[in-house]
Amino acid sequence: MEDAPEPKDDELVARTKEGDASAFDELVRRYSPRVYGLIYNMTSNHEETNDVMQDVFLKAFRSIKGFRGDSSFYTWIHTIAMNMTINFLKKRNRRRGMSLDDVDSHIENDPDFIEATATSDPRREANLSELQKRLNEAMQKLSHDHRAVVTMFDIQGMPHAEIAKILGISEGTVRSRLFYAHRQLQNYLEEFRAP
Amino acid sequence: MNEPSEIQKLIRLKRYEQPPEGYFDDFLLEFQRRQRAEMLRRPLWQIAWDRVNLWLDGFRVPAIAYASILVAAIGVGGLIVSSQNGASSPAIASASTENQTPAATVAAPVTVNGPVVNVSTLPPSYILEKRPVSYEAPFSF
Repeated sequence: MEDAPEPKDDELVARTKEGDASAFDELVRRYSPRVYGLIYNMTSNHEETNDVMQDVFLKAFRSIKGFRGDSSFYTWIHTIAMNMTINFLKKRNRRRGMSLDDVDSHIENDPDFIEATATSDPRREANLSELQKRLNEAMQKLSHDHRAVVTMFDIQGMPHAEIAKILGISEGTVRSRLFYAHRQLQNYLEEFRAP
Repeated sequence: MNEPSEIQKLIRLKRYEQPPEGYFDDFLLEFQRRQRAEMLRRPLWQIAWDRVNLWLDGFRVPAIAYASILVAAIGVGGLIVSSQNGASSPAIASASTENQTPAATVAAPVTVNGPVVNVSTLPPSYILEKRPVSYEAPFSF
């Protein structure tokens, strides 16, 4: 027996607007992994990511009646997530200087990560933990705007047009921010580049 | 399409940074708890407003119709208020006396249970309109 096709986002949004909270649960289930990736790579802290993501989905639920469907739900939820994350980071920076001790460091135990790096340069294999630390440090040194485009383009694999919509900027600006961010990251990660 | 640079390849390794297993299930449970708690805490007026909106949605009337009804209601309300104010305005009252016959306006000052009222500021009234004086008791059986 075939499974019923998964309901489309539009249908789930319409049902949520009619008061069906379980429809929104499905949207949370569908988008929380991507939204997590977006926030985590901006904050580099799991606990903070969890708190911000709770607020993001609560805000989306409260505002869903105002969602007219001009963009996809995917774009809409990513826009909310990005705006709330940047606001959170601004507040956090005001509260205290970001300590890099706050950055999570457990990727070295991730089997996918080990496999992905096993065929790389031997120097990198010996230094997975250091590499992850450097990556996070380098990301945190970027401005919020530059970190956002790197997160969405390089890590999440979004196209330029989608990033432009989410950030409310032109595609040209996305490209120039990426170019500048890559140049900065190159400087920070110089020693990990291939010889 | 350009080949990804070394730096991009390195940054892409961050894709493998994932939360612990079962995290997203726990996240959903926590979200549901907060969402339901928030729904229960909503003020009464907000619940009533939602009910009204839901009821209106049943009519399938375009939003512009609601706006028109609202504008019309405000207009009618404004007219009622302005007409009430206009009736008690001295300027309008004195203007209306200009078209009356002299007999109607020339009348002796009237004392009405207390302070003297200047008749010229009152709307005209005819003697005939007054109740005839009677010495009989109002009720006789």
